[in-house]
Amino acid sequence: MERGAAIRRPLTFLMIDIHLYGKLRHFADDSATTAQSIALVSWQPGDTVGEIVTRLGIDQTDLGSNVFLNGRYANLQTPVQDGDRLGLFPDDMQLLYKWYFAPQDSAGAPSNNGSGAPEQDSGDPNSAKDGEK
Amino acid sequence: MTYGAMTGTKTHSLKGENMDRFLRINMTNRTAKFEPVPAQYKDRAGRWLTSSIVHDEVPATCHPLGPNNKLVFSPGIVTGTSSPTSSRISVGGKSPLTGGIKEANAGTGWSRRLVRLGIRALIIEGKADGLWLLKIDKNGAQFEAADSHAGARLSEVYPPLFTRFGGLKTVDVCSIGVAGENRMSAAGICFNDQDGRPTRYAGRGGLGAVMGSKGLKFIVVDDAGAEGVAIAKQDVFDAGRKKMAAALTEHAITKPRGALNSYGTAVLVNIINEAGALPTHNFRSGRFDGAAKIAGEAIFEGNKERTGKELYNHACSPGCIIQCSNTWHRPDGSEHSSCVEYESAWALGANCGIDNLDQVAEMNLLCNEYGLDTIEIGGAIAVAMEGGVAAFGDGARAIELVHEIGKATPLGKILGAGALVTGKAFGVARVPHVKGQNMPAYEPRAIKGIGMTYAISTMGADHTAGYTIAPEMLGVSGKLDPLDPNKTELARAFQYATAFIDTTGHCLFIAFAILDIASGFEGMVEECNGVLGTNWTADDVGRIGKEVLDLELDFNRKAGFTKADDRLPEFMTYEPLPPHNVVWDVPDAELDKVFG
Ligand code: SF4
Repeated sequence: MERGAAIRRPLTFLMIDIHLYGKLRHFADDSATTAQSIALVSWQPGDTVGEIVTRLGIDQTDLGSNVFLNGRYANLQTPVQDGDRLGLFPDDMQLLYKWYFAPQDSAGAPSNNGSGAPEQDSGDPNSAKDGEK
Repeated sequence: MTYGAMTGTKTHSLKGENMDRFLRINMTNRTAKFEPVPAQYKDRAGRWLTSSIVHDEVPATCHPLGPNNKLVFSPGIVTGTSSPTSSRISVGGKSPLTGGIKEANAGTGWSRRLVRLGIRALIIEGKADGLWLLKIDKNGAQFEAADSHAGARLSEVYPPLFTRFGGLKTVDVCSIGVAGENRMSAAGICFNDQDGRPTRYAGRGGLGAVMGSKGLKFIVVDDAGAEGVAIAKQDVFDAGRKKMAAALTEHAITKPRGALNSYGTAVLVNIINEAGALPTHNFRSGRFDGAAKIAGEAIFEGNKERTGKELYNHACSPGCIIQCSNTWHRPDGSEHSSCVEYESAWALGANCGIDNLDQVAEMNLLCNEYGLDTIEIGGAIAVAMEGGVAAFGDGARAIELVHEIGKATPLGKILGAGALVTGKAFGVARVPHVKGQNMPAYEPRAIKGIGMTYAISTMGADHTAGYTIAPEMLGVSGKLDPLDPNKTELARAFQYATAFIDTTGHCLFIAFAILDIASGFEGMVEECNGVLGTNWTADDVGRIGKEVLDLELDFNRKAGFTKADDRLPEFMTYEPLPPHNVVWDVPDAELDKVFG
C-alpha cells in the first residue's frame, strides 16, 4: 500500500476526516499509535465510504467490519457527506462484534436461529447487500 | 514469610470416594465433608451449578456477609479435559454489592486441579473467627491459621505459598486481598495465572467480601495423584473438541496473532471511542481525547519500545488457544502490570479522564494487589472525582485513592464499597449503576442493546451477561425502532447462550468464533455430550441457558427485586451524551418484555 490522495486541507476543497488505526495508520501524516492518525481526503457529491477508501489508496481487503461514519456503524456502501468523520479499523482489529451494531438494515434486524446464535452473516463490508435506504 | 507445620488441623480423606462429588466446608467449626452429587444436579457444572446451589441453599433474604450466605465454586462441564480455552472457574453467592445473586468467573489452572480431584462443587458455609487457609488435595482438606498474612499485598504472599506447597507444577492458589478481609463490596476473588501472578479475578459483585466474611483467606489446591475427568463418550468428545479448536484457530478474532492475541481486549478502547460509546469522565461523554494513549495498540507499541521486542499476549490458564492476557512494562523493560484489560484501561483511564498508561497500569496493579474489581473501583473513583475528591485526569491522586483502599482508611472503605455508596457519601447524582453495580465500558445511551443487557441482567450492570445486539445504535440506520420484537428476542437469546457458555467452563471469548462458525458451536455441544454422555442438541443450549436465568431471576425476586430495579439511572434519561447527543429512551415496557 502507498499513500494515496491524502492531502492537506485547502479551504476551497470539500474534505473528509479519516481516523485510521492499526496498520492503516501510515496513510496519515502522524502514524504514532498514541496519536490521532488523521488523513484528509477530498470529497465529491455522491461519494460512498468505499470510494473514499479507494481514493485514500487503501486496499478494501485490508479493512475489517469496524467502519464508523460519524461514530455510526457503516459499510462501504454508506453515502458520505462533506465534513463527515470516518473511522477505519483494519481486518485484524475487528473485535467489536458486529452484533453490537448491526449494519444498516441487512434485511432487517439479525434474527435468531433458535440455537441462541445469530444467523450466519458474512459480516463482509464488501458485501453489497446492505443497501442504503 | 513461611508457615509452620499444619497443626491442630483435621484431615478429611478423599480416598476410596466416588470421583464426582461436592466438597462442603463449614468454616464455623472448620470441618469438611464429601457428598455425592444430588440426582437433580446430575449434568450441572459451572454457572448452572453455582446458581442452582445458591438458589436452592441460600436464603434469598439473608445478609450477604452473614453466616447464612454461601460461597460456591464450580469448574465447567469440560474443564480439566483437553478441550481448548476451558479452564474457567465459576463462583457464586449472594452479592453484597447488589443484594442479588452473583456469578463471577475467571480463567485459572486452579479450576482444572479442583475438577481433576473429582470435586464438581466446593461449597463454603458458616463463618470463622480470624483468617484461614484451606488446603485441598487427594488426601482431603486441611485448615490452618492465616492471620499472619492479613493486610499483605498479594504479590508478596503468593510466591512463598507456591514455594511451600510445591510450586506452580503442583498447586494453584485462590485468595482474597485486603479488600476482601475488610469485607468491601468491590472485593474480588483472585486466582493465579499460569506464571503464578495473582492477577485473574472473579471480580464483580463483591464475592471477595463474602469469602472474607467467612474468614477464608486462601484455598490451595494440589491435584497430585488425581484421577482426572471421566469422559463418557470419548469419540463424541474428540470430535467436538476438534471442531472447537478449529473454529478458535480459524477466526480472525480468536486465532493466534489475531485481534485478541495481538492487542488484547484493550483493542476495544479505540473502537468503542470511534463509535462514540466510550464512557468518559464518569459517563459525561462517549469520546475521550486520550483514548489512543491507553488503547491496545499503545500497549503493544509501548512494550515493543521498552522491551525491544514484539510481545504477543499469553494464556491466563492452561490450554487456551486465544491467549488474550497482556502485560505492561516499565521504561526499563521490567514487567509492571498484568493484565491491562479493556475494562480496566477504560475504568481506571478514560472514565477517570486519565490518559497516562503508566498511571493506569499502576492502578491496575494495585487493584490486583489489594484484591479489587477494577471496574467497580474505576467507577467509584470517577464518582468521587465528580464529588470533588480529586480532579478528573489527576492520575497521581487517583493512585493515592487506591492506596487509601489498600490501607482500609475510612475514605478507602467508602470507595471500596463501590460507586453507589461513594455517590451517596459525596452527594453525587450521576452514578452509572444498575442494581448497585457500576456499569462497565460501553455507554448504554450510545449502544441501546448493551443498555438493555445492563438493565435486565440478574447480575446488575454487566457486559458479560449477554452479547446483546443493538440492531441499531441510535441513528445507525437513521431510524430507531425500540419496539422491534426481534431485539427483545435477541437480548434474551444472547443471555441464554452466555449462561450456557459459562456452564461449559469455556471462556466467554469463544463466543466470537462459535457464534460465527457453525461447526464450532456444534463442537461445544458435542464436547459436553462426550463428557456427560448426554444427547444435547443446539436447542438444549437455549433450554439450559433459560433454566440458569430462571433460577437467578427467581432468587432475585425472592430477595426483593422488582421490575423497578431493571432500570438505568435517571440521569441517562435527561442528559444527552456527546458526540451523538442521545439520551436513554428505551421504554420500560420493552425492558420488561425480555424476561416476560
Ligand atoms: S481468552 Fe483470554 S481470558 Fe479467556 S481463557 Fe484465554 S487468555 Fe484467559
